[in-house]
Amino acid sequence: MSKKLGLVLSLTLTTLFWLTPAAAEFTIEITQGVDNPTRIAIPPITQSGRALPEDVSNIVSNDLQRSGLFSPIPRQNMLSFPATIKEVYYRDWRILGSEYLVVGQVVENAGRYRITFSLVEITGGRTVFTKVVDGGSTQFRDMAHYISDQVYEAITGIPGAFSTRVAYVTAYPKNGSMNFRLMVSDADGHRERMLLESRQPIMSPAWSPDASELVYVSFETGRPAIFRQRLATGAREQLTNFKGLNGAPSWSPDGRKLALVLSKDGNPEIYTFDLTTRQFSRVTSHFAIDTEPNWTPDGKSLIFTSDRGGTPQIYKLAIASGRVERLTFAGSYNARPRLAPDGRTLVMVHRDNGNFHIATQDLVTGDLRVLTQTYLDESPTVAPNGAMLLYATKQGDKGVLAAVSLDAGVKFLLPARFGDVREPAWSPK
Amino acid sequence: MRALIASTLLFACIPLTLQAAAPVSEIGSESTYNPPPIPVPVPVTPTPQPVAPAAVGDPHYQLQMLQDEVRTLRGMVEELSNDIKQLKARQLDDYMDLDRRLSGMSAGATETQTTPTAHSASTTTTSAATSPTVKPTPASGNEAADYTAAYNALKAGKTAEATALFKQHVEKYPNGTYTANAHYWLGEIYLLQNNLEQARQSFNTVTSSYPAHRKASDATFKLGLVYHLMGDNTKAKSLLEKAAAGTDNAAKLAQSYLRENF
Repeated sequence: MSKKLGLVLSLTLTTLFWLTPAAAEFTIEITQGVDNPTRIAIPPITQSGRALPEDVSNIVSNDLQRSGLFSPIPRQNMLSFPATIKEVYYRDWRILGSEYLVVGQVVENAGRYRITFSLVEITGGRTVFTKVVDGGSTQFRDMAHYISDQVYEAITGIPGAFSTRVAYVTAYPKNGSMNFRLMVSDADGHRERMLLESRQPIMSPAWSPDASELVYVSFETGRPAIFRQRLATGAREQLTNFKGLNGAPSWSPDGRKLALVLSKDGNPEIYTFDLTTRQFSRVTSHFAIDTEPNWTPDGKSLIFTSDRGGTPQIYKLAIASGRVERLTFAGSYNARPRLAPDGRTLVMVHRDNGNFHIATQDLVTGDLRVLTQTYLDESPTVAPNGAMLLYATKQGDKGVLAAVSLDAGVKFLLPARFGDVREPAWSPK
Repeated sequence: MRALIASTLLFACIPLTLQAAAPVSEIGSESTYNPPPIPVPVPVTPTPQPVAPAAVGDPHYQLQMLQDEVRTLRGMVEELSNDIKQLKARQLDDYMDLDRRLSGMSAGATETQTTPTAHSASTTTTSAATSPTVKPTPASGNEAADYTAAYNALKAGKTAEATALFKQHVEKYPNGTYTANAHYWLGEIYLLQNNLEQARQSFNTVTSSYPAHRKASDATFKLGLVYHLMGDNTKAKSLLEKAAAGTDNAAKLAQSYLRENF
């Protein structure tokens, strides 16, 4: 049966792995930053004066700028390009008003590269840290993101999320019909890769907790079915093939189960699926629609959307006891819940004056906060460090991704060059 | 043949109203015989049930209506219980505020027995407050007197003085009758000052060094609360559940705290 299915799939689909078209790569437009971003200078990081295949310091500079908390000093304004702490003349940087400085240099050894980098606090005239990172000739972007993570964490106290990835679905017309692609890129939009291309819709990508696999819904078999796919090899497997709805998969924090929605018993209900035993167990039982399950960080509860109270609202279900508790009370529409890694900040789509916005709710105090002013906002996904979230919105008639910090202080758009981008999913690491 | 069909249709349709006449002319003008339904049954059943009442009688429709009704009612119940929960929380806050003001007012005067009610968060304070004065142990007159002095300082709102006295107490009487109480009150003061780490240490001393002490369950509850404020929800929850397992006031407080925050 599975062999036959595989054959059918290969006939009906053009499945291309690790293609690097880069045609839809993002450019970033920061629309709002904090009032007083930290001024930081990152002079070029080179291999004793020779340029690297990737401009590492420029990548770090873009990463930090995109966080909205930093304002990197343009390279052309710099008076000197120190590579080590010894070469730093503090006066050069004080003149520019720089608060921090990142210096680094690259040493090559048998095809491996080692970047030694230091963070210097200009105002205090002290070295915050000196660290090293190793990598091959194709890993300069990874090394740059690592440097960004270290610098960001040392200054803000929050772990960086620059080394993470984002999965999303693009849709664009091709030969008179829509074409759908499941894509994965770095969090900065670079190194975009296609995992799957299909003439039928692809929906709801979600990451495994170790960020090595994705689950998603694909209509390629003629009806919605849930697939899992390994990123490294591209190997994929169909997990569900029930009549009716098969949707909204979400991977449990321990990686052993999926929560998903099936309507095989006549009405959309939430089930868990044990990936080892292949057993489905139904966890909700209500004549209303129960959908969009997502795990709490402790893996003991699910949060989900249900209209059992007349309007779509967010509920929490303790899996062991089956106890259901309503979490949202503000407004007549709250859906698509996600929890920030602190387990306390609920992120959701909230209808406010007829517009759909992304909002957060503090589950302890109950405070609701609308984060976005764009229209038709949907599919929020929180960065693993809990500082930012990505969501899908409309710019003109095009679907684009946008990001906002959880305190609403920083906002930026990630417009793709063509096609609609939707359903972002931020990798858990 | 076509004429026959057309005429049959025409005759059959005579009793129909004007609205139905339009399709007839269409059928007649059509060259193929594809619309098979002949509208004969309509005049044959001269007493058709009106559509709406039939649907209301339909069990499926009724079920649908009831389900919608239940959903609406459920929504209302959920919202009302949330309102009640919030009102309760606000009432408790108001009460605590009032209690704080009252004890502030009476602080200057003689030591009075305030807050006789026994169903709010201040009960921890009350029950703890009454214990040393109600049951003075004869073991060591000095210790009891020192403890009372420290406790009175706390009651008078002189937290700095109370902190110093309680600290002195735990140093002077490491194995005293009131040592656990002194640790507990130090914890309370630190918690009041939002000095979470020191509060944690003090409450932890009570729970780990005096597990059988009367204040141990109060301290377990407060320790859970401190962890919750520190953001360690797992530790907080396990401690609160431990405290909630009992039957005393601390257990009630822990239960309601768990209900509201977890």
